[in-house]
Order: sequence, then C-alpha cells, then structure tokens
Amino acid sequence: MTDKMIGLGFAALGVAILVLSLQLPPPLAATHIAYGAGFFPSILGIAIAVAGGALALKPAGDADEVEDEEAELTHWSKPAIVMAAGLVYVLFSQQIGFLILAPIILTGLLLLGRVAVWQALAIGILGSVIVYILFAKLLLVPLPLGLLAPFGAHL
Amino acid sequence: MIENIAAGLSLLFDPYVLLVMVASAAFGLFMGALPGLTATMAVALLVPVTFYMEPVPAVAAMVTASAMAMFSGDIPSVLLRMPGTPASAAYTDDAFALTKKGQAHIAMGICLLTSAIGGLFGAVILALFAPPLAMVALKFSSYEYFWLCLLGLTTAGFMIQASRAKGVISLALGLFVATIGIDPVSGVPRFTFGNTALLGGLSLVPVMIGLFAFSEIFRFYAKRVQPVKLEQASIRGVFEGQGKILWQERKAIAQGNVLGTVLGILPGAGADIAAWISYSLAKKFSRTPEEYGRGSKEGLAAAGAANNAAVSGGFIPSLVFGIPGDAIAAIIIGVLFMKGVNPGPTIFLNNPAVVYAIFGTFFLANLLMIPLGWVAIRLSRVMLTVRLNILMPIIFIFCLIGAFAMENNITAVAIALAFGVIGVALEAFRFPLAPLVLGIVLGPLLEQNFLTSMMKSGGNPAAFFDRPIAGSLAVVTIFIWVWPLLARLLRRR
Repeated sequence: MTDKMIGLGFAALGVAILVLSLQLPPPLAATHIAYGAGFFPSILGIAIAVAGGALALKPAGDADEVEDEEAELTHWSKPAIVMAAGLVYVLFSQQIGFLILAPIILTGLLLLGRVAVWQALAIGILGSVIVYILFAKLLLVPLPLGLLAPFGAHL
Repeated sequence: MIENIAAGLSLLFDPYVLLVMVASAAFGLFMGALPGLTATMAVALLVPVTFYMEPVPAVAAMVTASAMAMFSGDIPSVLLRMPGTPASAAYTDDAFALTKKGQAHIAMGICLLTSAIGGLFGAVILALFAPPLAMVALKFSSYEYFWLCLLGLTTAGFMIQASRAKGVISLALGLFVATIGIDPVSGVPRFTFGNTALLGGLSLVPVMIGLFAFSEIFRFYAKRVQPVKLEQASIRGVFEGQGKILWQERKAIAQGNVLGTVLGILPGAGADIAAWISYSLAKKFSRTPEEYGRGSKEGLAAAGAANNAAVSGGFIPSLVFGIPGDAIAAIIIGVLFMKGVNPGPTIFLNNPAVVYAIFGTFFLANLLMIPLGWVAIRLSRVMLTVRLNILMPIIFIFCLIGAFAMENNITAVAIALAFGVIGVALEAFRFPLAPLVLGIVLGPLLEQNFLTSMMKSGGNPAAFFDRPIAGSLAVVTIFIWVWPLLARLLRRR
C-alpha cells in the first residue's frame, strides 16, 4: 500500500469524524459560548482530512516509502493468531478464568514461536501460576476465577 | 526549603524505596538490553506493579527502569549491531565498529559513563530550573495553559517529523482519541457508539501498553527470528582508560548533555530524536567526521549522553506544567494523577517533599547506573542468549493483566489490543507515534483550557493574546505554524 492510498483512507476518516461531530448536540445556552461538544472534534476531522489529502496528493518519489526492514514483515498469520489469542482472553476470561485460559494461551504462543512441546507446556503452566501469584495474590489484581470459582477459597 | 529537601530525601532513602529502585534497575537493564523491548515498554509494564505503591516508590521505579533501559539499549548495539532501544540506533554502527576492532569494553565504558553523566546533567537542570519555573507557572491562567498545550502539540506534530502530513495526522488522531467519552463541559457522550465502557474515555495506560508493548509482540511474530551471534564474548576492563577518553571527548559530552536536556523538554522530541540530532551535530562540527560510522568515540559520547539527558529533561515540563515531554513522562504523570498527586505548579506547594524525592530519584538512578550497568555488561552474554520466543509470550500475558489491572475492566484489554494493531500499522507506514501519545495526553487539557478561557472572556478570542506570557506563547506557536509557508515564499524570491 502506498502513501497515496493511506492518505485517501485518512481523508475519508477525517470526513467521517467531521460528519459525526456535526451531529453532536449544539452548545448549552448556560455556557454562553458558541462551541458545543462537536466543535473540537470537528476541527480534528478537518485536520485529518486535509493532512490525509495532502499525503494523497504528494508527488510520488519523495514520499518516505516503506523501507526494506518492513518489507520483511510479510508473515502476518502469526501476529493474527496472537491477536486472536488476545481476543479469546477478552471474550472468555471472565467465564473460563485466568488460571485455565492463561496456560493455554501461553503454551500456544510458545509453540507458535517454535519452542519444544515439553518446554512450552512447563513454561506455560508454571509461568501462568507464577504470574497469578504475583498479580492476584501479591498485587491484589482481581483476576477472574471463572470455572474455578467454586474453589476460590483455596486459590 | 531545607526541611522539604530533608523530607524528600527521607522519603527516598527509605529501605523499601531503595529496594524497589534496585529491582526496577535490574528489570530496566534486562528490558533495554533485549532488542525489540524498549524503555517505554519497560515503563508501561511497570504500571500495574506500581499500582499499589506510594507515589515516591512508584515514580522511583519508573524513572530508574527508564534510565537503565536507555543505557542497556547500548549493550546489543555494541555486541550485535542491533540497537536494544530506538534511542541507541543513532550510534549503533560506531559502537559495533569498535567491537570489531576488539574494543567492545571501550565502547561499553563510553556508553555507560556518558549515559550516567547525561542523566545526571539532566537531573541537575531539573532540580535547578523546575522550582523557579513552577513559581512562574503558578501565575498561569487557562490562557497560558491553552497556548502551552498548543505549543507542545505544535512542536510534536510539526518540527521534528520527516513528513509533516504524517505528523499532523498522528497528532490529530491522538487528540481525537482523547475526545472519546463524555464531554466534560456539556456532558454529552462523544464517539462512544452506545458502549458504556467508553463513557469515561480511553485510559492512557491500556493505550500505551497497546502502542508500545502489544505492537512489539505482533512485530516480533511477524519477523523471522535471527540467531544471536556474539562478536566478542568476554568484556573486561570497562573502566580502563575511560578518564582519558571522557576528558578527550568533553566537548561532545557537554553538547550531548545540553542538547539532550533541551530536546527532552520539548514535547514530542524525546530520547530517540535527541540521540540522532546530537550525533549528527557532533559529526557536523567534528575535526574527524570521516570516523563517524566507523567507531567514532566522539559520536558515541555525544549521542550516549544526549538520550539519557533527554529522559531527565523530559520530566521538567511534566512536573512544572503537568505537560509531558515524551511518552515515558506521559505514563509517569498518568500514574501520579491516579495517586492523587497532580503534577503541575501546585505540586511544589502541596507535595514539596514528593518533588524533592523525585529529583533525588533522578540523581540516585543515574549514580546507580554505573555499578549496576557494569554488572549488566558483565552479564550481557547471558542476557543476550535469553530467547525472545520464550519471553514474548510471557510479556503478552503481562500486558493482558497490565491493561486489565488499571480499571479492573476487560474492555481495557480490548482497547490495548486495538492500539497494538494501530501501533503496528502506523509504524509500518512511518507515522510517528510520539505526537499520537501527546495528543491523547494533552487533548483534554487543550480543549478544557480553550473552553474555560472562552467562557471567562464571554467568547472574545482577543483575550487569548491580552496577557504578556500568553501573548508571547501565542506568537511563538503561530510562528511555527506559518513558518513553512513563509520559508517557501522566501525561497521563491
């Protein structure tokens, strides 16, 4: 993707922000000013649209195109799996619980990084337990118990 | 004042605080030494751990970790030609060239000592200038704060970036993100799309964890892992002959100190840019510019001092005005706000002991850097063999908890993941992240000060230029905005 397409994308985003901002309610009479909730975001919408347009219209060549290092970043399947693991945690951690879900995610990501199976399992389980003790017990972060809630008194 | 300093030092020299500093020093050194893990990421990951601490140990932990990570980013530069943090990238070639000549110990020594000197110089400037500046800032009203915010955002978006359009987009996106949630003046929800979890707005910490930690994890999995190959295995005699080298390079170090501190103070610049600018300026005025890139000790000294000086300098606007100079300072002031210690000029009146303890933290952290940095250099062989494919999944779990812990809210984790993707995308297309972060932090301040000023003046915009300091700040800000146009016109003539 080139800077031109990205510029166009941002220009469209800017216009969308502007349209949404203009739909916000007008200013309250009590404030005695002419600026409502939509005033500031509408300026930002315009700024994004104009800067995006400028990027799209910039002559090709002097644009700082994506460099070699980024060109290597073509393997997006693994990051997508990592993102999916994060979403699974967001959606199901409350129901399943940290102590069950974290070892599965940790082991899975270790295997994704080509760590040996037994090593991944050991680090996955032990690592999750240590992190649980550190955060839930010492730092009192209320990590979800989920399915293990009946055993909450012992955990 | 003396009793405030004494109270501050007694807060700092508490055994618990000292223990926290040593532990976070070890953490910072480790994080900085691993390529792909940055000083900002180290500080963001410390947030949930500091959540239950008093303000002084919490800030001490973050300041120490960031200073240490900034130095230890040099270790893989020297040994592997891979900068541990972006702030070390400017002089990686020189550091590695010295290693190839069998002088890794000299490169390490210069990096360690100039980092400590730079950090200490920045700390002296912080301690000397922050209190009188705060006295001036006490007289500031919403007009001055409005211009100060706008000036900060302007320098972040305009001055430093290679592509101005990208700088402006990044900045405006940050400001837009800050508008999500209930508008404080009218009470109207903005851009929440019916999601009640967004009513309070997006918290800074999940956003930072996303931009600086999740994004690194995603990038790590997208790349092919390179096996580590150490050029020079054993490093001994780090301090050998350093007195002579430091004396020879005194001008470069002094330049790095001053430039780093000044660029640290400017919002949006930060340690990475300070190192680059100091390096290129030293090269420009060098008697031996041909050595740059081939093992120039002068270049190493100038840039090595600058990035650490920027960390200390970056704290001046944070403490005095409540306006952070860079992403690290933004996280630290976010944490201070959560603990009820509001950075800004009133902190010097309400919590003077905390202020002096923070000054002390900068001195102590940079002094501690010398012995602990030496230990890290000796252990660098072990540290660099740590496998990132094992470490990254563990950091991923830390990030999930870190984002959750701030508000005990799972939506924050989703927000952090989303910003992880945004961070990867923006960096892949060379959009700078610093303006985005400053936009998120300064957005509410800018909008509130603008609306308060307008209400006070009955909607008269001329009031923004009436007061002398506000007027001066306005002139500087507007000049930066119109300068590109003026420059183009002048060039045509």
